[in-house]
Amino acid sequence: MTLPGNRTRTRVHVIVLLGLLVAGLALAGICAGAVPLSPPQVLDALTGGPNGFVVLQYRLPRVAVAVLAGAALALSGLFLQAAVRNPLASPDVIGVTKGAGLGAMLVAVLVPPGAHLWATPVGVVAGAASVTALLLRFSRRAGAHGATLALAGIAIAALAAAAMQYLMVVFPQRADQAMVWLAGSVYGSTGADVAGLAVWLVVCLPGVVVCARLLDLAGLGDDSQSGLGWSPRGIRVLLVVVAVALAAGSVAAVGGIGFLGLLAPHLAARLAGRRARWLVPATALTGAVVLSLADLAGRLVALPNELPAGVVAAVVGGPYLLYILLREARVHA
Amino acid sequence: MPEPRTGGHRLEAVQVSVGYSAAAPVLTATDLSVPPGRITALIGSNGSGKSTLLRTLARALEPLAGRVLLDGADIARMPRRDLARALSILPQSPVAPEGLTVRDLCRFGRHPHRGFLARETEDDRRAVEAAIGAAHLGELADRDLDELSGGQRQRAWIALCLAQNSPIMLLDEPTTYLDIAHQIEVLDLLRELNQTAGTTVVMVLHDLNQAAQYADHVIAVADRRVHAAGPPAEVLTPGTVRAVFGVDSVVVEHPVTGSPLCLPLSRPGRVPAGQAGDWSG
Repeated sequence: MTLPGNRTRTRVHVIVLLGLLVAGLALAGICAGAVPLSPPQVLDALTGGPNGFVVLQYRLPRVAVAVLAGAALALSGLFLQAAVRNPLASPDVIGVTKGAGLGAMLVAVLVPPGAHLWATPVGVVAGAASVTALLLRFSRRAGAHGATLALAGIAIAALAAAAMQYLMVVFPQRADQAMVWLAGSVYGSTGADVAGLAVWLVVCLPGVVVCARLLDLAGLGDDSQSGLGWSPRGIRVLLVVVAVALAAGSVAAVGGIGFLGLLAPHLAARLAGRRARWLVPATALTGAVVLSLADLAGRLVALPNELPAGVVAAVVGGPYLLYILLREARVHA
Repeated sequence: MPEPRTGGHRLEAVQVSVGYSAAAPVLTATDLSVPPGRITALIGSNGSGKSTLLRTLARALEPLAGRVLLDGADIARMPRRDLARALSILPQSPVAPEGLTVRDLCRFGRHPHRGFLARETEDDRRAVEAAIGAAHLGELADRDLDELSGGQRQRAWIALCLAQNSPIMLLDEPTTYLDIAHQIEVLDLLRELNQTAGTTVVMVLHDLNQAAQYADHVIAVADRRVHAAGPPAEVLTPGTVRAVFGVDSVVVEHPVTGSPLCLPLSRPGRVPAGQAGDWSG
């Protein structure tokens, strides 16, 4: 038995350490690259020094997008897992990422290239929102039970994937560009990407706060929630909507980064426990750490080439998922 | 029987049909009334719909037809928070998020009493501590739920209902999966609450003799309707037991409490398993 005071202190330490890790990785991400810079040079560049162009136009946006998108995807996964009561749920599993990808591909195929800059985010959000609307409509008919939502999400993801295959066959050249982007990368992020994502996340913030407050309650059974004066369906819908908004924002910025929404909440729970007060900040920070690390690793392992962060995340995330499954199987055996 | 100390709220069902699909209702056109300030036991065979009925009374499930009334008002039209202040429910196998302490669990009970983003008030803290005290969990308040015994955990969930401070408490099989000592521990606690605070208790029970011993009012459910309702001595007769459970029985007086004691008889023409081999080994 741990004393509650000790436990609280440990968790504060975990949050602070994760925060420092994010800052350290961000700094490393700015330093590393074709022109390696030292931390003093970076500081100098930030205040208008000689390397200002590289740092401000190229590396800072990339690092900032990795931090923001990583945190958003991780929170999205956390809220979805609470909504469907399954620790293996994440934006990719439930079809949101695929829906967003389909939206992006439709834009790539149907909209003239000149308008892609603004049309792609719109397509992504529209795609993710359509998938969610379909999912919620279906759940109203079939009952919004966790497993139903997850399985419906898988079916919708398969449909979206089929539609994407169709587009690739019919419009091979235009669709190929979208496929590169869909692999998931923070490469080539601009200040506009950072600003767009940041504004989107600020808009989502009230929803995130409400979901964080409801997260512990969402861990109780439906009847208990209802007995405490909440509509269980209302809680689930809210969690799903906020999760999708977060996922759509980050997919629009960095493409499809798989496994992050699954891996980050799980890691964070092991570090900070399952109580929402610690789990929510720990999850956001873990997401930022993982995506920053994936980007940094992708830039360093294959020099002079770069691996997209999404590929690195999948290489690390796949085995981690298998490990979780194996552990769960042992617990239940 | 002592008079209830408070007037209490009156919970009634008027012509309700309950179930999960209109094509196959579990109970139809049921009328029932829960006596305020008393302990009511819902009995019936497996699948007879007693849990479904309880969930409908708590608005965890919408009735297929008819209305559930709290002091004459339809609970389906009531704001959920208002209902939660009057009525709490302990589901059959309640689930809690990992790593929750007894006190954390009880804090959920204050949700219906304050604004969504409001901070815990001194009143909330007092109510939580009072609930922990009333459930005799003072020394376990900072323990994780996962560390408690089955009976202690069940008392923690009852403490959650207490922190909710609702005059009516609905419990779905609060003694299932508990050994006999823990069953008595939970039932004694409920009786104590009923007698000291005047809490109206409605619980689904499997054990007829526990229903007879602890309840003031027994509702027996069978054949998709309320088969009998009334004081234990009126409801627990060999005739009702046969109609509700399809089992012959002898009902005698409990030597200590005087409540009816139902002793089931084996069915004619069928030798209970094991009996034949009892002598050989």
